Amino acid sequence: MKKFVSLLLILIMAATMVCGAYAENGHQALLNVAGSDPEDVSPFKTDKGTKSMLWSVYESLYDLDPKTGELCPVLVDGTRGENGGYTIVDDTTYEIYLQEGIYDHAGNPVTASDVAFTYMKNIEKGFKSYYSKLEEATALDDTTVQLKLSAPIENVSELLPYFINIWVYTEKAFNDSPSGLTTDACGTGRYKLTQFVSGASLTMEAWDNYWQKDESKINERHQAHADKIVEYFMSEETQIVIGLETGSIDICTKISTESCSDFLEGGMYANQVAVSTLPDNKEVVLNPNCSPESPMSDANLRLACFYAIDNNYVVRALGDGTAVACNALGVKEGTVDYNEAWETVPSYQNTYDLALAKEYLVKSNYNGETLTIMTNTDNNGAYKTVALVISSFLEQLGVKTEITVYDRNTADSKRRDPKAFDLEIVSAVSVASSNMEMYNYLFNTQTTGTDKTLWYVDDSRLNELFTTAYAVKTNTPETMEALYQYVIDNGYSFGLLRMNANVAFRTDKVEDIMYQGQHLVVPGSSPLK
Amino acid sequence: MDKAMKTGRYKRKWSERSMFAQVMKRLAKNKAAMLGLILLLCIAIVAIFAPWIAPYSPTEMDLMSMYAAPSAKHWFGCDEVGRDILSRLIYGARYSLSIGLIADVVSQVIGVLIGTAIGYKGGKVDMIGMRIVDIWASIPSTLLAILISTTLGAGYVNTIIAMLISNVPGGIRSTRAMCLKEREMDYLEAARSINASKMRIMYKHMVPNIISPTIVGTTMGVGNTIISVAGLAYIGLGIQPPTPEWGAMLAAGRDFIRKYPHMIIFPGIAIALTVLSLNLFGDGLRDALDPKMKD
Amino acid sequence: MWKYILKRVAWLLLVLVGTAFVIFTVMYFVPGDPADIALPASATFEERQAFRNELGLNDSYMVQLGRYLYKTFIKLDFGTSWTYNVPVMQELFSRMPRTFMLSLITIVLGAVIGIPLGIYAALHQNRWQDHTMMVLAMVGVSMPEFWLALMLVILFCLRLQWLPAFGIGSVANWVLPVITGTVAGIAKNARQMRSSTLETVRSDYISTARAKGVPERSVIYKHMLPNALIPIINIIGAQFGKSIGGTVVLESVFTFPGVGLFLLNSINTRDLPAIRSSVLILAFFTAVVMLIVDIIYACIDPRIKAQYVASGKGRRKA
Repeated sequence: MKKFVSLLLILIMAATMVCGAYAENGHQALLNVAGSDPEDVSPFKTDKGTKSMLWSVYESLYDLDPKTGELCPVLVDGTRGENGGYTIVDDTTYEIYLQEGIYDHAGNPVTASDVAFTYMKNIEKGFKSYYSKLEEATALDDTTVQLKLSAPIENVSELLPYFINIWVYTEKAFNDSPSGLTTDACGTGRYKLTQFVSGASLTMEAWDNYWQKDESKINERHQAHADKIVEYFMSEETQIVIGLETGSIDICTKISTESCSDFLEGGMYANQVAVSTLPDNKEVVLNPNCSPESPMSDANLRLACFYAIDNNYVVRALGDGTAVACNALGVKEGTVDYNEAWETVPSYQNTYDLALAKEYLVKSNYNGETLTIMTNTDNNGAYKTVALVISSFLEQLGVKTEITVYDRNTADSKRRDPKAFDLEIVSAVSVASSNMEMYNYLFNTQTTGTDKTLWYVDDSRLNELFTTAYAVKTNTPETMEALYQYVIDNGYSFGLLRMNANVAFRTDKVEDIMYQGQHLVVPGSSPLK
Repeated sequence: MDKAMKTGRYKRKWSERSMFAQVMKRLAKNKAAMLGLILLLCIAIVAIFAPWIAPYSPTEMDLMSMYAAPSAKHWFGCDEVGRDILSRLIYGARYSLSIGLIADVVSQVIGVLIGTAIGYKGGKVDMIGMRIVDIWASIPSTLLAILISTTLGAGYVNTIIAMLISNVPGGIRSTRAMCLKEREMDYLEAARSINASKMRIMYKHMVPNIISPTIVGTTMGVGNTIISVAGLAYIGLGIQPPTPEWGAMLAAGRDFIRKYPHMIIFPGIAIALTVLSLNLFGDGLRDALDPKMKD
Repeated sequence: MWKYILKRVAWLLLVLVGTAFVIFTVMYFVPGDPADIALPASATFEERQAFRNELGLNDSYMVQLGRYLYKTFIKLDFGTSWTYNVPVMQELFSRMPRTFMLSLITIVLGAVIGIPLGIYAALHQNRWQDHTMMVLAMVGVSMPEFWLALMLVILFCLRLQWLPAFGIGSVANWVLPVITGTVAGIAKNARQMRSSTLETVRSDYISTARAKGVPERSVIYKHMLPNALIPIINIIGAQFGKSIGGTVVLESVFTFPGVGLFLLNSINTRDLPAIRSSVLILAFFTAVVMLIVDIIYACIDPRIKAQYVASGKGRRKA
């Protein structure tokens, strides 16, 4: 009898210990996410925001803290090196120091030679433009990678691709992969990719054997709260809303503001679904065509048009909560070089003055021509609405306009024809940490192959100011101010608004949403209930 | 009688003289067809006299009434930028009716003309001609319309061209199939024996016998065409706002089916009414043209 | 008859080459530079030129055409998708079965349900059965597919919670897409069949058969049906041809990864290898379907069969 009782007690204790261990390991949670179609799961090209699974399955050397815009070491050992993980040996040589004991999902150890392999493979299979200056990447020893550049890193955003979006994989994993890491994945991240059905869904499972055993070194964006994540590539908004309402979808990474109305205060499903809203880090700008073929090459006409547009009204026209008006040409949150003073200096960015606009119009050479406003169909047609409102403002001013709409790719090619448009409404590139990335898109003349910007601005003073501000050595608040002021004085671009990016999630399953830099949702790191 | 014997000519009633007149007479007797015709004429009148009938301008935006539900002020509600839907439907009749009819009817007419010629000739012409049509038809029509629209751009004329090009091969195939069946018929043999010209045989004798499925297909096809334009509009081609067009209005309301169903219901009803009227009229036309119909 | 079929099969290859030529030319004129789309905004002019050189986009029309035809028909290399980064054939073969099944089921159901409905309506012409059915048919055709799909989702997934709304996991996922796709098919088939039946029913040979005292059943099935079916077969064949590319709406609403979405996405990204090769496969498929349709015609209608046979032997003048 005694033996029996003690055996029973031992069993009960063992059972509770097992349950306890189980409970500590986290919930048996399955997260269903509605996202966009990544087309493939390769780690080589990451400019489109659709490959959010890369942030869960792979890891990069650093990642960006979305609140401060600063680099945080992930694979890199932040205690070594002069700059927190890397050392600038000389103008064209960089040394990066890795942590020890990193291995990937297949158990292959990750060493410096693998990182070097990743760099060289990315040049071959990815965007050469990101690594255009990289001549050679070599491993000096197991944890030191040396990058040899063909020319010094001069410009502000050039260094980012080397540190942030370099998804590290091992040479062995690449060679072992049946598809060359295109439809399967093997990285060092907290989740393993277990299934990818092209065009439909992908499944990730938490990796219990994560290489980083030191909890203090894992930042909040590299957690694995959910055991399994299934991401469905859904594009039909009504389906997504129904999924959220019935509970078959737990998180939706991108949803329009109109569809969220049931989830906000007083809505029917406000108790089950919450919405996390952040303004996008892309600014929607109105750019004039400054080529001689267009009347907009006249600065007075440009200023006239810009002063006649009230971007607050445009934002209201899009609907409450859909967008945020910009009072300056730049992205505020998460950037290291946004100057709050820009918002108070009076300019067309923050002033709507029809009388002043008419003054400029009189001074200009406008003779009643009909201007063409070109835009694209992204963002559920929001830009079309913006075009319509701007068109009516300009009509009020006395400028005739017509609107042409294309899908984005066609619009990108129409832009190359200076006769095709006079004004364009387009969203500038995403800003990761510095507004110079956006100014690079707007004012750089190197990308076109001619000496003009993408919008045909041919101004040597602008070029000078831009190049000065863009170079790392001379990038100071003063040079940025000079560039900004010149742009505003000449009306080269009008930052209209930033769309709100909404993430909807079920409150019975998810506590809050975790973002990576660049406003990407990391579902695995989002705390669950 | 004496007059006839003198002149050798027998004067018949107008309605017995020409085929056209006979068809018209039979059509007039068909009540359903007349109903369809009247409905169609009503829609056409609404389209023509739109500026006088519509309560508001179709392009005037009223940002205070975005997505407004139907009310006394706006009978059919407002769309995403506050434009009155009823007015847009009325003006839209011009675009949708014309696109639907032109794209559909013209493509079918071309299809019949070419299909008859190929089907009647047969042999080598049939072999080669149908292979060309096969090539044309093997590119899915939805995608062909998208490709052509992308190349030409959005807009009224370009959309009609895109829909025309993608619909013609179907018409050719259908007609040619019927021709193969009819070719050996006795009445055609009879026409040949009296040395009637090929054109006359094909278009005056054979076509009326095979036109029936084409008519049905055409009347059903108009609704389909307008909905295809909706599909194009959804991806940024086709007809774009602020031009009012029923298909484009459907596309604009697609994401708001649950919240603001009025944006889709009313254009949908307009399309359905048009299809109904065309079908009634088309049925009557088919009956009137059918030589086998016993009066 | 066999000679005819063999001739058609031989022509198939030429049709494919012709299709390749047509789609190549059409895509040549579609605006949109693949380099702009594939490369990030920061790419310089030299990089874009290098990309275009690599893909051979800077060569002249004839050179590009020649290279493409050679690669496709001689080397049988159908290219790698620039967007999906997998061989086009691989992607198509993984998606094709789904789209094919969906189309097949939809069309078969549409025919099986629509044709009898049409005959029934015709035989009760101008009575309430006929009118009801025709009104329903017209509603079915005027209804946008996405509207019907979403209405069904709201009813069955949201309110009743009987069926899943998206994905391809189980048989239950197929129910709603099939229902949505079938409705328009039933409407069209019923309408056409009714019209075709009405026409045949008025023919002399039917009156003769009835006068002879042939039972009504026999009149319908043996005499009328074969003739009435001819235009329907063409329509069903055409539906089949359209269906593979035409399921785009269903695929996007139900997250059903099929050929339609693949092709649409490829067009958006100007993914030339994917577009060209997909269209070629679809062309092959459509041409085969059309050949089968033509053969079925011949089987049903001996007059048509005679013409095929005659065209094989050499014709007398018409």
